[in-house]
Amino acid sequence: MARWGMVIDLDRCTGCGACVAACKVENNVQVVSPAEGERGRRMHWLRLLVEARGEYPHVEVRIAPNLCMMCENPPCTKVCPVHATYRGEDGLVGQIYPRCIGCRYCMAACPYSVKAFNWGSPEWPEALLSTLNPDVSMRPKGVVEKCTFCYHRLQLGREKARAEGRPLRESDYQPACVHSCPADAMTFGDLDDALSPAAQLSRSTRATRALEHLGTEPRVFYLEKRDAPL
Amino acid sequence: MRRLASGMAVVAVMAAAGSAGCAREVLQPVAFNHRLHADNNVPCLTCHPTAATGQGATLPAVSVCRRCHEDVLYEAPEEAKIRLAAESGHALGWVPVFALRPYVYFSHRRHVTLGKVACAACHGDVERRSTPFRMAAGPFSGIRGMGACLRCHDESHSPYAGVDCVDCHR
Ligand code: HEC
Ligand code: HEC
Ligand code: HEC
Ligand code: HEC
Ligand code: HEC
Repeated sequence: MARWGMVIDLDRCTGCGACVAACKVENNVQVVSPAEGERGRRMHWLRLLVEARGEYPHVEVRIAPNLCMMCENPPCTKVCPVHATYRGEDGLVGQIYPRCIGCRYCMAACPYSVKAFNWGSPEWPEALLSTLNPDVSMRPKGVVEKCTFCYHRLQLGREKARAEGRPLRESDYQPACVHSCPADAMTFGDLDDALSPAAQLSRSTRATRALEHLGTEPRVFYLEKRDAPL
Repeated sequence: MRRLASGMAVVAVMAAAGSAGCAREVLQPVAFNHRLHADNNVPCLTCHPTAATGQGATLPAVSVCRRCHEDVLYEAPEEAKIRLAAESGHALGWVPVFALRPYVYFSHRRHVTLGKVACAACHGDVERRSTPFRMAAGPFSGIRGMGACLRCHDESHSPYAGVDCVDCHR
């Protein structure tokens, strides 16, 4: 079975935000009012972490897309009291909304802060209703949401491959953020397939994973020039 | 059953709490008779074409009925409703009976065309029904309905029929 993973080249990323927008549209991610946002209730499945390093005038800005790392040893699933977040058969971390009771233990456990609590029922401006993606459900109020690596795209890809009587190819399944990146900074594929560009990049000497010392074994790799401190 | 064990133990508790979707009696706009059409060799896919090709199976528009009911086939008041609707330009307004909540992913094509599952396995003996469907929230609703999906997936031994939560929950 494929070991799906992502490699993000931070030296290529321009911080344009296309991935953030693509993710919101693809996954019907709720729009939260500025007042609610101020109260720390922003809803995000993918966001940009901006970090400035060094002292003026030698400042270096580092921008990193932050999404579910799909850990192979996820801390979040271990604390879920109701089995709503768990590692599925293909190793991706799932979040089953009808099962979630909104306790937010998983949010507290996630060292990457990629999970977000849904404080209000999704309300959509009239103009946006027609742009909602029917392949992704609307989450009800009071559950924890997160990036799924666009799991619905995997489902559609599997169905397509099955209909054409062939094995699933990497091109059948690319998450929306990867698809949208104009700088080609994101690469997605099977980390166990030696021929996959994602697998090759993940073994590059520039590759690191966030908070690697925690032993979470994330499936998202970042590429960065080596002299940068980790 | 082995594959199901861990997650399902938790879910079983909910089933005991009786959270099955409550059924609601509905009235269809025309007393449609599936049996009569099946006896006249009208295939299911004439009226539900996307059952083979898409996610939803869809309920037929008046224009589909008009393909055969342009002229009077059968002197019946029910048939006259088709002509009335066509002339006034209104939709007939069928009420869906089988309807999953939006957090479930279900594809007819996957089952009908790729999995070769018969309509009857899920919908019962439709070709022998002489009355329209009446109960909203069909047999697949609620946690018991999920049990019906899982039972077949578990027993079918198809490598493509998963029992992983994310296969169906989106
Ligand atoms: C492929 C042709 C065909 C299509 C399409 C079709 N019908 Fe019929 N319909 C028939 C035939 C054949 C009969 C039976 C005539 C007979 O036995 O005398 C019939 C009979 C009927 C009757 C009268 C019988 C009764 O139960 O009282 C109704 C009402 C009816 N159809 C409704 C519909 C509706 C509603 C649609 C669209 C959803 C539709 N039909 C689409 C062929 C068709
Ligand atoms: C594996 C089970 C299964 C099989 C096989 C199946 N269906 Fe369905 N059907 C469903 C479910 C579940 C729904 C509710 C779908 C939803 O709400 O998304 C449904 C809904 C429908 C509807 C209501 C309209 C709609 O699109 O929601 C029609 C009509 C229908 N099916 C016809 C058919 C026909 C015709 C066949 C055979 C060609 C068929 N089905 C085979 C499970 C099945
Ligand atoms: C084969 C498909 C399938 C799989 C696999 C599946 N479910 Fe479901 N689930 C359903 C369906 C269908 C429903 C009923 C939806 C409806 O009521 O319209 C449902 C409903 C639910 C509900 C809500 C029940 C209610 O009455 O509100 C919960 C909670 C749930 N599932 C949890 C899970 C968990 C946890 C797993 C993994 C162990 C899982 N499901 C695996 C199909 C599935
Ligand atoms: C009568 C047996 C049967 C029932 C009932 C049934 N399924 Fe299936 N399902 C199958 C089979 C067989 C396959 C494999 C199809 C193939 O060969 O591609 C399948 C495949 C699937 C898949 C694709 C799995 C994947 O990993 O991509 C999904 C999703 C699914 N079913 C959902 C459902 C849901 C939701 C229900 C209940 C509403 C349901 N099924 C009820 C037999 C069934
Ligand atoms: C002539 C058109 C026609 C044909 C042929 C036909 N249907 Fe239907 N079907 C309808 C109409 C109209 C409805 C809605 C009224 C009702 O509930 O009877 C419907 C409803 C259904 C429903 C209930 C869907 C829902 O959620 O309300 C199912 C299931 C279904 N059909 C399956 C089948 C199967 C299986 C066959 C083949 C044996 C078939 N149909 C053949 C016209 C047709």
